[in-house]
Amino acid sequence: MCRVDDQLVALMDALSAVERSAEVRATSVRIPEGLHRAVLLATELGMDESFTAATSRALEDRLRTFVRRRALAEHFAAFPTDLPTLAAVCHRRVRGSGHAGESHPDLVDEAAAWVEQRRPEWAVTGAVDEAVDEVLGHVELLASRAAQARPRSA
Amino acid sequence: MVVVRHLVLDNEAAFSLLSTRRSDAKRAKVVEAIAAANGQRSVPTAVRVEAGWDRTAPRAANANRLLGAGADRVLDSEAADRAVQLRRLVLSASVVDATVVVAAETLGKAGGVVEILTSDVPDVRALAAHVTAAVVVTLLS
Repeated sequence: MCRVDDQLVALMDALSAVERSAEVRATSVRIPEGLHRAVLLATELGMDESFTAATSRALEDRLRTFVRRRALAEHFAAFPTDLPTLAAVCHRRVRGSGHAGESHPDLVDEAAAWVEQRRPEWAVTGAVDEAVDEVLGHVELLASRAAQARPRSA
Repeated sequence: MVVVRHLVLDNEAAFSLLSTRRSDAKRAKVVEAIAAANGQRSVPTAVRVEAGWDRTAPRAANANRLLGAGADRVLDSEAADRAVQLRRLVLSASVVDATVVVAAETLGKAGGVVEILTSDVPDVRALAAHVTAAVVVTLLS
């Protein structure tokens, strides 16, 4: 296993330890004054229960997104034949969900083709979730327009 | 509409993920499912045993990268009780199948759809009929 793989797996193990342990480490982190104030205000508005919780969750969310993207990108680089089409991933994402894409597979194909043209790097960077969300957002819009354009029955 | 999709692998899917062949159609299907699953992705520990997935083995590096130890779903006391209850309702179901459905039930509590990727659709579907989560059972072929 190459060193980068070791580091990625170590990062994944560190994240899974977050769920298993309540152990904390005090650390001094300098953050921009504006960001500090923004987090304080957001916690007062109910975003999270404390400054620490807000910053911890934001950091954890960002790390988990990074890990997923990196893992997928490295896998696709190592095994190019495993790369699915964006349309296939979108169809799978909505199966059983009730999303408009389930009843409008043609719109999923159309939107996925368009997004794939705009985001050809989606697989290389592992940014699958961002690309799928963009496709499904377009599908909802297109399906809504199609429903409005349908002539009303007498 | 935000769509959240979770994933649970059975032993056939886990075994396919361990493949290190340059090209592997089954592994590609598992990877597609992982890519589609933006929620939690889970491998019951009983599944790993059945599939021969030793996380300390070098050949597991690729699989570990996609589904790290955080994806392991341990068969604890509560899960074991639930698996026994489900197996009583579907007598033909295996221990592994029951742990897969228990894992799906747990993930489903967070909302969203749970996909179970399996080679044993009839038994898994029969088990899943007894849980309240929104489960989609997909054949790995």
